[in-house]
Amino acid sequence: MDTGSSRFAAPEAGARAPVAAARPGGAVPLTGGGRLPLVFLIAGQLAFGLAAAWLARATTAGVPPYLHPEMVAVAHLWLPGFLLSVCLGAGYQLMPVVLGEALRVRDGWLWTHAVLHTAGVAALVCGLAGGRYVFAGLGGAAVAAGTLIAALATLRTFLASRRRDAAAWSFLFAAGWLLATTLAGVALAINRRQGFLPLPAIHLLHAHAHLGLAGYFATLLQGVTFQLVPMFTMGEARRPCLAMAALLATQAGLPVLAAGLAWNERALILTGAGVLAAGIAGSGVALAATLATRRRRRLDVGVRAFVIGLAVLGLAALAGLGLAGKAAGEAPAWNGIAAYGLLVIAGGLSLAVLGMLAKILPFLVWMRAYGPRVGKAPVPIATALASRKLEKLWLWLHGAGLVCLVTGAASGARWPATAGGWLLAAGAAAWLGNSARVLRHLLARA
Amino acid sequence: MNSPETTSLVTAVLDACGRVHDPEFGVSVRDLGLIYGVRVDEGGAVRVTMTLTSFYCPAGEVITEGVKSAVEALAGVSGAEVALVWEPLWTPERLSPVARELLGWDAARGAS
Repeated sequence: MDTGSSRFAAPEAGARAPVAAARPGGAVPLTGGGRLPLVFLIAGQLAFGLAAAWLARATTAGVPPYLHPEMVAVAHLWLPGFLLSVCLGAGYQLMPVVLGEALRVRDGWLWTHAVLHTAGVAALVCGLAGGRYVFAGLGGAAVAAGTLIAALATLRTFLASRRRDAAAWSFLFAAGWLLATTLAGVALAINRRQGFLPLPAIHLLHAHAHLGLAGYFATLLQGVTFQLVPMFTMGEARRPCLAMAALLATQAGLPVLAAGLAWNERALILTGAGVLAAGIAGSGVALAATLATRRRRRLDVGVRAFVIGLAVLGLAALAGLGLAGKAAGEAPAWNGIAAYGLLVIAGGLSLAVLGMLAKILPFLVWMRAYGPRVGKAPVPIATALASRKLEKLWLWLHGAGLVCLVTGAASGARWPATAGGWLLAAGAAAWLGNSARVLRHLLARA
Repeated sequence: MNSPETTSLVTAVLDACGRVHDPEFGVSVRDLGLIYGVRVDEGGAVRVTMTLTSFYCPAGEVITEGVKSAVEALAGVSGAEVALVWEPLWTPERLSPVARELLGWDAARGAS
């Protein structure tokens, strides 16, 4: 017994330490001192604000056809600009935590990635909006070069780690799909001038979109969910075998789906979409079991948005399956495809990613601003840096905007689309206001 | 045998741990049940044995450094060391009544 410590005697030993005891200090350094993830997160949020405003302007006359150059540009500002930037920033911070190893890459390479990514997205979006496809292709190539750095960093860190569950594997799988998506995008841009691919561009575009949406984003979410949800709710990851099987199902279904979309083969599309949807459903079951173990009973806005986003993704997978059931050769259901795209991108993915960001951004800011003062002076807790009212306002506006937008896109009616666009933009404004409130705490560091 | 000074210093160390909070949950490391033991020698050197709620806690280093700083600031402490241990693993049963109330755990259990 330690001197005078009878009230706090060590509990009986017996429970085994987890496998990852290779990190006995429990210390995970902030990647790039926390600055690098923050740069990605801030760039992503700026892109969110711009994309939401652009979407609102574009929907004043209803939802434009999704292949309209303006919509393609908005989609690229939203996907690689907003969602990917945020996921890269969060991933660079989260990956060492999950894998229990510092990133196996020099900070200089990560900063190079940040520059390539932000400049590349800007060129890509401007090129697509203005119909300058060479410019867009160059931007895409810069983004792809950046993803190569991310993929190599992920591979090296994964190999150094001993953790091999769904959370760990999801980083590796997602990095591979991201690289494939960006390279396919560059190939599409070159094909537009050279015409070397013997398939219709629209089919290739659908395949490219699904490589990114399901390959990178859904794969990542299928893994990190089982790290983030227990961490933020004080729960335990449950059904790990199911979570892993669900992740593998997605990995198996996606290549089949992508091939089916590229060659417009209905059987392949249905098979791939079915396996992929089953994978997403499996992850949903494992998530429900994990959530049931939580000790923090009241879910805050960030976790609530994250879970709602995952549920919307499940719904979108079913909608996608319905679209896949349409026979090849029939006239495409343009309205349905637009509604499906909005449900996935503005709905499931955005809610899940922003929900995750609502937790990660205050934490990163807190670590930089107040971490060094802990134990030396009174400091606020990380969750107190944000405004609960603004977070709730964002979630309501975003949810209402999404319902209106999807209704407008599916029905072709003008006013729900217009209202949805502006509601979504108003939600983005509330989000950015809250984010600025969190970020100003960095000034407290001085 | 513990001297009164040593005993009061142990109390002070535990109080200091009560002022170091988990940044996510807003609950002190003492109420979370993370402090496994406190040893104080006659010279005022303190050794705190503690754990974290999760092996993958991203704030682990900040929390342990915070405990060390809070203890070192106490009068009568000549030096502090924090030993992070993983055996036995932390379990929710170590939460104090205060922590359970803050997390809304007991209310939910009673309702279920």
